[in-house]
Amino acid sequence: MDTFANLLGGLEIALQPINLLYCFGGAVIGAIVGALPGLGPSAGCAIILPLTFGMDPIAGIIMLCALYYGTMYGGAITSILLGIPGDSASVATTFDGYPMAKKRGRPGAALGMSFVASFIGGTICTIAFTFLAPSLAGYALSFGPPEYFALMFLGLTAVSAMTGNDPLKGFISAILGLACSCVGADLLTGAPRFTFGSIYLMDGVDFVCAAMGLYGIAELIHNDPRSSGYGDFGVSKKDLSLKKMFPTRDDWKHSIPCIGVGTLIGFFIGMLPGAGATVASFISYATNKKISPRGEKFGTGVPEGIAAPESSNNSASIGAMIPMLTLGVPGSGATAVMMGALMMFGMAPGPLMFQNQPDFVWSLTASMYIGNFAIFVACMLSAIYMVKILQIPINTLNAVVMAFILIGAYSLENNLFNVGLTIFFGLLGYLMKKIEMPSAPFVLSLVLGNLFETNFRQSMILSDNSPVIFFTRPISCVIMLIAIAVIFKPLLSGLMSRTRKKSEALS
Amino acid sequence: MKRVDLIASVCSLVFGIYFTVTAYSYEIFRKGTTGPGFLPFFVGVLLMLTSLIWVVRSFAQLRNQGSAQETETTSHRRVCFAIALYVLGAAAVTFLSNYLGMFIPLAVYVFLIDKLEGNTTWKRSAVIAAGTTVGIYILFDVLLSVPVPTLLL
Repeated sequence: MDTFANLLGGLEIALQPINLLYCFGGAVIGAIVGALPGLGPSAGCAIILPLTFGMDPIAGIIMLCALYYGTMYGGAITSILLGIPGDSASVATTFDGYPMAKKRGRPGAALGMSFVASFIGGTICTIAFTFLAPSLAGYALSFGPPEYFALMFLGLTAVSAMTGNDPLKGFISAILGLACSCVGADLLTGAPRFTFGSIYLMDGVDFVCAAMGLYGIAELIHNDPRSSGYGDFGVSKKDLSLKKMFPTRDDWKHSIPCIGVGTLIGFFIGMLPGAGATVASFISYATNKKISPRGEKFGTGVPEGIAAPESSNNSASIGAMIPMLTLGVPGSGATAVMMGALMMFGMAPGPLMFQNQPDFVWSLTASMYIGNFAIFVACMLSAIYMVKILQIPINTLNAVVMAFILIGAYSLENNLFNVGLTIFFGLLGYLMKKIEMPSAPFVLSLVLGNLFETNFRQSMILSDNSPVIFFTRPISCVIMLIAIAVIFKPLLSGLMSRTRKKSEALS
Repeated sequence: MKRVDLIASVCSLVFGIYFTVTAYSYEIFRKGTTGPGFLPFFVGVLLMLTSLIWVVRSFAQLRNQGSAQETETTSHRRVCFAIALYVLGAAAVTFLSNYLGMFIPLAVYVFLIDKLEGNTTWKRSAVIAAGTTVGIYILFDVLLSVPVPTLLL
């Protein structure tokens, strides 16, 4: 009952016109920032931060928080319509979002599904945040290097779900991604690896550069605008109606379980510092691909392939607030910026925040409900106009998209080296398409590689080089066993199937 | 397709060998624990092994294919044109941005893509190029305060 009373008190503050304005404004800016290639939630929060200096602290943090989950909505737009991920958390949305728009001719429905899944995932997690935040805070603390390694190992087993028709090529793609993740200064010793003397490579290969190149530029090289079929999304006027934006009954039937699983995965992974929405979206996609009855259709443009990553990246963005507010530990880059804002406002995030500043915490919580709903409605209404982008002549679209990719790559770290890197990945992505090597395993390994290696080596230091540590700690042991089961499941299934056939033949 | 596969597999194998040899020089073990070369070394070895399997498989497929013609769905001319436009063109923009700022090369680049990839008039392409560049300037430089190199402008 206390929680409800606190929430109502928070609503009263959040519903003040000025706070509503900042909430909605932040969410819209977040959606636009998320849609722009190269800019993600961290950059968006950092850019907006100076604007919050003169604001009331509650209004300021409401705006930053709204921007954060707004980017999750926006990132899906370019992923679905153009095949270019708006930010790292929406790369997995490209796998099914773009084919659903392009090959199946349902861009409106694809956008609608992404917004609906985002809304459901975000709202469920906000409810969980409301009731469980303080008690779940301890969960984030119980994760050490062995648990992180086990989680990354589980994530890498997801590669097997992305190999497509040729597992060998998929596996090699994943290994190349891991190789790419080794570039840069070693996190434990600082020794430069594969930097070729370049200071720009000391920070490693930026994942967003790789994603924009592999999915953006490669697509532009690969497709010929003058040949029939390219750019023909089959969008008719009736596809642009608001009714068409909503998932059909059949879409719901297949997507609801994926939204549930994605929300759960996103929430628990989002709470882990350093994991974030990107990792959550990939693991959610791969997990749902394995357990969904239509798992073999993932990657061909099925709505559940959009629902899985979108629900998880939104829930991860809410989950990341928990360690930030309850422990003072930022869960991601964007929450690190928000923590900086909180300190600037004179607030001390930590275990006592719920007791000492209840007005602030509960008004922020209430604003998440309002902001999530507001941006969902805004996106659904404007999706009709977003889809009109597809009616722009392909040559013009290519030119504008290429310009945005180049400027987006520059804006990552304000240097031209990243632009060059993006172009390199564009060429690599085209070559991978040419030899029918899937790029999803590459991208997944690139995302997880650093965390995988760092946590493995830290675990070895903790355990005096004994790998048994991964099985002696309870959480790590459970995750490792799940990962091993995932690896051997296809073999076991095959064995059981052969045994069953033999026994049927004998009987 | 099969020949391309063989070439790619050999390139992958060569890269794997290079990666493994370089990783070996980074200290696989250091002060009694894993060193900076640990993961790169094993990744390199894995890449070498899988690439070798791929080479063997590609070679076997090429032999089985015999003299059958491979069907190409995209003309070589289109491929060369696309790579020239989207890779070399973008590289030229990046290079010229050091001397001219980013907006002028970007405007010319947008103009070229719009003109060369479709049947449009030069006036329309010029308007698209100018509009895109102004839009990028307002969005990134003015609103988002990204310090895009301007130099000449």
